Amino acid sequence: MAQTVKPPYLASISDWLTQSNLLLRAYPTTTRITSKYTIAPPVSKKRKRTAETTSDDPASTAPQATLTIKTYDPNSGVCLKYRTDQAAEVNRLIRCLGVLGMGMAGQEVDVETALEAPQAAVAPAIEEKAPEEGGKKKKKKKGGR
Amino acid sequence: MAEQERLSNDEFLDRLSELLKSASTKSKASIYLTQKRLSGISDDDTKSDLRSDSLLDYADISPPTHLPVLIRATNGKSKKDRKDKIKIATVVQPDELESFFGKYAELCRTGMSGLKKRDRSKGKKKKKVKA
Repeated sequence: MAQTVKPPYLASISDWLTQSNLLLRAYPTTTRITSKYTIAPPVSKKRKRTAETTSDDPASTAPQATLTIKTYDPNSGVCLKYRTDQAAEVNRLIRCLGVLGMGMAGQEVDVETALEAPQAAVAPAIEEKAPEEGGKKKKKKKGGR
Repeated sequence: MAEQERLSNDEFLDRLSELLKSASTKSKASIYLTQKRLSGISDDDTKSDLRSDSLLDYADISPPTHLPVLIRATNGKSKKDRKDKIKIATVVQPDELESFFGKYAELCRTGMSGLKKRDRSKGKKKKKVKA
């Protein structure tokens, strides 16, 4: 048997979530989930070879940030990873962490619903920096009489 | 190794917010967030049991009571930069998990500002197809 090391990166969040959940159920005490948020200098462009050249985004001069989530169990040696550089995916990922966290706690969880849950449910919770401009302070009242 | 001091959940989130903020001002930084079950078994016990199946009993897989979850955060400074290392930890009780992760998600979204924003013009094409 040829020893091939399978890259632990999974293709989608839902794959990662499903696999991680299985691992967590098998080894609930030793499995841990690590999220790494990395800001790297913009020099290395190797990773982005896709048709990104068409859009002249200002991000090419800004540092490249990535978020990697890893589920690892030292007992079995299983390692599952997912990597993204999209801000829009943070929300989903953290919700996965929440669901898996409940699984860690020993609660019954249904991971399939975690990704289907409406994104908007969390959105209104953003704390907006209240613009204290002073002067104009008009607020639209919905259905105000 | 001495047991690390554990912050309250709110204090942890405040400190994590600072940690993310300080990272975003740098051109090169990493923040590590880890979560695992707090089972009362210390890491040393876990290591010595690695090759036995004692961790695989059913009480472990389906615990009689819900267990708290340990959350750690660090800026990953080690070796020669160890003096700059920031390491914080908190324990989230099972019934507080949902509210904690709500705040946590919000904080991460604002704190991880270096990631790419969604391209709105392209994004509209990607509508979910209902099967």
